[in-house]
Amino acid sequence: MISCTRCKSPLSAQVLNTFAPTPCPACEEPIRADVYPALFRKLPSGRSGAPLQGEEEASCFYHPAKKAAVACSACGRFLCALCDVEFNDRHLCPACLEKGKAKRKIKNLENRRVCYDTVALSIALISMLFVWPTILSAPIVLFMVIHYWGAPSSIIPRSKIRFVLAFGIASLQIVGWILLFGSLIIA
Amino acid sequence: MTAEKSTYRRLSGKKRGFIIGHHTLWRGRDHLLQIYARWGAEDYKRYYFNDIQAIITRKTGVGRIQNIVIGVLAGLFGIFAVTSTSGWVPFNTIIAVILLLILMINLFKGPTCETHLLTAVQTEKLHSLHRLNTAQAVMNQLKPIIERHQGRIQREALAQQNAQPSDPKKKRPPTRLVQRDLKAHKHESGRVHLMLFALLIFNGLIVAAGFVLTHVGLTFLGTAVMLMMGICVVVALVKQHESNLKQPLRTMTWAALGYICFSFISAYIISVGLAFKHPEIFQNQWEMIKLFSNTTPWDSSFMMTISIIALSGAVAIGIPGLCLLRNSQQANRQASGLSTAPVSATATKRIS
Repeated sequence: MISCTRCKSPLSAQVLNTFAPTPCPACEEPIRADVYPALFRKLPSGRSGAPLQGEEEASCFYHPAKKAAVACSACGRFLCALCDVEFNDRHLCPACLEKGKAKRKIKNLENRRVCYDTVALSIALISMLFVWPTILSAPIVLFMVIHYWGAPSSIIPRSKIRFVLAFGIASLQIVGWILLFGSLIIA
Repeated sequence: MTAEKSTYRRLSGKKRGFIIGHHTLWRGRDHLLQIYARWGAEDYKRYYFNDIQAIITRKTGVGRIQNIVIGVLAGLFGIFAVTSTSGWVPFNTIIAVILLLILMINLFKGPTCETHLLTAVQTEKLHSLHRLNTAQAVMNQLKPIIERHQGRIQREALAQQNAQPSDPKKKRPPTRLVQRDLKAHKHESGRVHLMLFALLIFNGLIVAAGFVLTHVGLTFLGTAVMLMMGICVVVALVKQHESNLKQPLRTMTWAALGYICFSFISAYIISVGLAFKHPEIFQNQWEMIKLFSNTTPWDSSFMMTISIIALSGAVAIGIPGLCLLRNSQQANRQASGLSTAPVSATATKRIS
């Protein structure tokens, strides 16, 4: 049952799928609720592997007493219905799924990323506001650009422009400091 | 194992955080991706089209309140710009124009809303969809995509199924709002809140006294009250967390925090202004305090604006805060009286 997000009273069918804000029958706040068939779909119950019937049948790699239902798309190990994880139209074993998550090979399992290009550009720009910190920040930015050039950035498509800008700004800062100290030495 | 080759397309709407971060929504091949980005780190939440049960958007009054506040401030600065004859005219004019621009942009963006997405196991807020026009456009955009994954639901079937859910045993996990209500609330007497709102009114009186009186003692008293208010507001915010205090009262406490921040910032700006005006006494703290004490709202339109905002803010937060606290305490007393009534009746019976 869908409820109003303000008064939490259940919304009647007249309010659902109107595709325009309609007053909530209880609190009269304009609300639009788009409902989809998943709301009335039963949750699939958990599957358990079928037991082996004979010697000639292949067994699950992780449960030798269970019948193999499918092979892992990544490592090829036989898996029973319990061990089979269907993900992005592929059948994976729990170990490959874990490995894929840990090594960031399955993009859809990543919940967090550090975008070093944004960090480098932020350091390069913010340090410029206070001028003096650029003595330290410029080499740090250059190191970050070189070290993390190949590291994965944001999950959404993005160019290397931030790295290029950070590199350019940090280089200019270093050149500026060299010129300043050079002129001081000469003077 | 190859990496998933999914491309994302940006959906309209962006919600900026108070100081840092922003929320955006992206459409993937088979899911929606909500990104919260701040300081170079990004957090992701995915909602698969196949699992989305509903998207609900509700119009809120936040935009209207913002427009009223900005409009009043723009009007105030506009009046000062027109009536003032001192050197503050350009400053007031610039602020009034900036506020007017912000008001126009806010009006152009349209009414605000709150959008939630429901799946079988979660109810998540889609932060980026906080403008009704944008939320509706995105919902219209997503509708055919979700229907392609799940199929279409007929209105007749919806009425029938809504009346009789397919699985009556299956209970929806409570929303965050419901969860907050279901949590065991700790009892809060509201003594710190009482002190905070009383101090706010007292601070309003000090500001009002500043219109007719200038004395170092008044400045010291005002500073002490502000410091006490700062401590009280932090303690009050900690105490009201997961307590049985009513939502309007909690909001008033947050407003008090905003008021204190405004007061501190404005006092800092005035001090810096005085220091620039009188560099000869910049190093002498006592002279600075004396100079600060001699400043009155009548000195400039800027000072007058600050004083009016401080005075009206103290009254507008302090008095309703005290009233709400009284109501909240009365309601809690009644509730506790009702809950203890059957127990005491049984106890009396047992004793007799």
